[in-house]
Amino acid sequence: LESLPPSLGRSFSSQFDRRRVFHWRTIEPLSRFSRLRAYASFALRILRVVPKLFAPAIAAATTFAQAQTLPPVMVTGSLQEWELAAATRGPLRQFGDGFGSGQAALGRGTVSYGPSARLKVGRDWSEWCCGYQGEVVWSGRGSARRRITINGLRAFGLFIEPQSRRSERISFVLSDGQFITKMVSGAGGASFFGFVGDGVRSISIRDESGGAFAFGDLRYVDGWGFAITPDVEEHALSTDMVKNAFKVELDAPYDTGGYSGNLTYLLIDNLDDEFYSEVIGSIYQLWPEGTYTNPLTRTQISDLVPQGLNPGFYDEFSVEWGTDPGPTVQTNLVRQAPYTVYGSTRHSVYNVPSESQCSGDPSPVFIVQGTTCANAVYLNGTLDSDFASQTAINGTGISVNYGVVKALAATFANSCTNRPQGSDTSNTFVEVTAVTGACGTTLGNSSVATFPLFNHYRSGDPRSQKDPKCGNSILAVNSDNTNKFVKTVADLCPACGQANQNNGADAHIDNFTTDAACEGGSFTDIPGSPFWTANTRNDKK
Amino acid sequence: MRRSSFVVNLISFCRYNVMTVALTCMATFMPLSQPSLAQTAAERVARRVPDFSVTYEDATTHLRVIPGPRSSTLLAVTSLHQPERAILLPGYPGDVEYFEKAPGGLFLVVAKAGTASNHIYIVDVKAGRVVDHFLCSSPVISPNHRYIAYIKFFPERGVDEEQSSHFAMLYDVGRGDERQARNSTSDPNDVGRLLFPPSRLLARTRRGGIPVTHYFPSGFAWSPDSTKLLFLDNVFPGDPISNGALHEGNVRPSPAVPPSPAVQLILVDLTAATPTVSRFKTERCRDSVSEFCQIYLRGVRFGAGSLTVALGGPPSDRNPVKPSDFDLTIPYAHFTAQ
Repeated sequence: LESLPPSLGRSFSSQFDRRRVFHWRTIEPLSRFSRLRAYASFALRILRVVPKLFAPAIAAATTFAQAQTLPPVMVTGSLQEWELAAATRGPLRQFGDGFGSGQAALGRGTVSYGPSARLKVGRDWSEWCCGYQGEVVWSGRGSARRRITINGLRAFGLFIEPQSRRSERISFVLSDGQFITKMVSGAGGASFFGFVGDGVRSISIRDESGGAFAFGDLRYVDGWGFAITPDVEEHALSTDMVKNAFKVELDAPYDTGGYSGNLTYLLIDNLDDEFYSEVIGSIYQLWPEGTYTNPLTRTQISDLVPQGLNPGFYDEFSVEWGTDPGPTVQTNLVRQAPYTVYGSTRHSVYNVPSESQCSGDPSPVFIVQGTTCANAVYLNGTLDSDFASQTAINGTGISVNYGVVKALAATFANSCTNRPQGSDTSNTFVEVTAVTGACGTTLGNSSVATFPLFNHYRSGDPRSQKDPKCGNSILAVNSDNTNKFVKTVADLCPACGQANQNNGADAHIDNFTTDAACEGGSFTDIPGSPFWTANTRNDKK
Repeated sequence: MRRSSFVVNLISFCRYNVMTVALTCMATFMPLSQPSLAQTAAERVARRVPDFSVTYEDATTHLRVIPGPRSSTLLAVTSLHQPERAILLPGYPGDVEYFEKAPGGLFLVVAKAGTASNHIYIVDVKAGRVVDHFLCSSPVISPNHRYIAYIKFFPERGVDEEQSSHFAMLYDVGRGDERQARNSTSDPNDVGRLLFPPSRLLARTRRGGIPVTHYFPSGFAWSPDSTKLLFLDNVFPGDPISNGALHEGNVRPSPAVPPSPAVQLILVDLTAATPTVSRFKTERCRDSVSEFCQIYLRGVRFGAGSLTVALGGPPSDRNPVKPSDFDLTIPYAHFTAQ
């Protein structure tokens, strides 16, 4: 207990006596397994003595033992049915791109299918089903069979389609002998086959017509092939990246049948298969009731080994308990946690030119008043020549006599055909009421500019879910894991998309400052840059 | 030892006093109400031209950068058998990055302008004047120094996606009439010829209410003989025209692919009277960290009948030696004309 974090140790102590109260929750199959293993061992001894005589009986006993040890496996040809059953085993996951030549990594599990050609739906394989556009694995020319070895998966399913455009009978056979067979159309009619349960070591797919086929759009729940059934009645998860508070509530004790292991927080990037986990503490035998709120090591950017959360789009947060190696219990509830981690990020500083800080000669300019080409009024005016040059480059400037002005190329007036003779992007400026960014809001010391900005996509378009967006919160973290600042996305920084502007960091964000200078790029990067940076989307999860 | 130290100290003393006298004179003649401005301007000049090591020298010409009066920058030119002359570089340039000699006795001067833009000066050193000057981004001068490929200038901040969409431009130093070839009437930054996107596609600026924008993440690559120009284009959103992917091992033709960020290689051939633009659709890129397709042109090798490109993710300190994600060898014939 002394090695535990204070919160966990306290909870463990307080819950220790409750173990007997919840004794009825002890997992029976494990103890039963031990007995059956003894029976099997005894049977094997007999088998050595009189193998021919008792072989059939021993085989039957072994099969019986397995059937009693592992929960039953469900095989189905319905995706909906599979999803309902698989969701009880853990978070459902999907795999479409990134097949290896003979194997694919599915979270903590794998499927091996032997050397195969990988084809792209929509390019190499024209029709599939249900909008799927990822990769598929081809059984090969004239090859009507394919065996897939399963490892580390608690539920698995896939879509299969014959190469021929006809409907052909496809069989899906599990290693335990269960199978399902059905007719599948080759004309965009890829159909689902799957199983839910532990202990399946392989599946065999067969096109009964003797033709080739392809499989893809894999669905799975990863975990250990031999697992303890989760028995957590209620739990709740919440995350707050800014406060660095990741919370899990455990409402019921859980007897692990003698195993000991660690409580681990998981952040998962399903898009890029990034996986971040952090062991919060060791809990022995009992999963104690209580609420645990812990910080994560968000960053530790060192010169040699960057640590912490790698760049990625982390969309899930969950908690698991497990030994290594050994069975793992993962919470059924997966909290959606859409954090985009940019990783090591250069934080440069930008400002708008201020005429009061310039020392050039007066130069004639056009000052535009109005908001449309129709009502625009062009006045003859004078601006400091250095200020005019810098404002034309920067896009916005603060003049002495005309207030805030924008460069012609950044305004509506750029496309007006009724501009006076001699007006161009170097000498024409539009009066505006405030220094605003691409988001249309007034810029202040807590505004940042990013690239790109996904603001123009309508609801329903997948890209509308992408970031950064106007109003998103950008969190910068010091190397000691303390917060540097939280700022708001308010502007577009086209130069931030150029890798050579990153100064070796993973990303680049520009921070607005109200400090005055004649030049737009007068200020050096924020001291301490680069910082580990994430887009928290300004909400708690 | 003592003598040399004395000499050094004497020199330092004199330099210090000369500078002091000079600064005192400057302060005397400056308006009393603006002493800080004078100091700010001096500091700025010192910072903008941090050293004077950017020089060019050949058998006939020597160029160097010197700070000019107030906030301007001068180009000091020494031609054969002539005294040094100063040419004013207008437009409040930042650091001069490099010089290149161009045909016709011209010189190209590339200077910083803001954080991601450049001033280009075409200088006639014989006549002692700036022939042309414009703003741009990512300029790359061809190996024969005749062409400048660049991204058309747009303000660095306060612009939206449409206003910051990239246009590939070409300035032909050898023509000598690029000012006349520009599209608008008088804009000093609207200069050169538009290469891409083709003008016939410019009308299609919006698709389904979403602006179609282009982004060239890797700059331009010139062929050694300066006849071909290659660059990478990311399209937002995906351009359906580019979805007819060219690939090996075709099984069945592709149906419509949903719009997505698309990557295409643009090849410009300058051998014809009018540059011909063609493109090769590489692959639908896989979204990365910021949900933005970050594929960069890492290298190009121009061959006789084909070119080989190395495409990969952006370099970073996490992956300083990240290998190319994929190499493509593409026959020129596989580029589809626009």
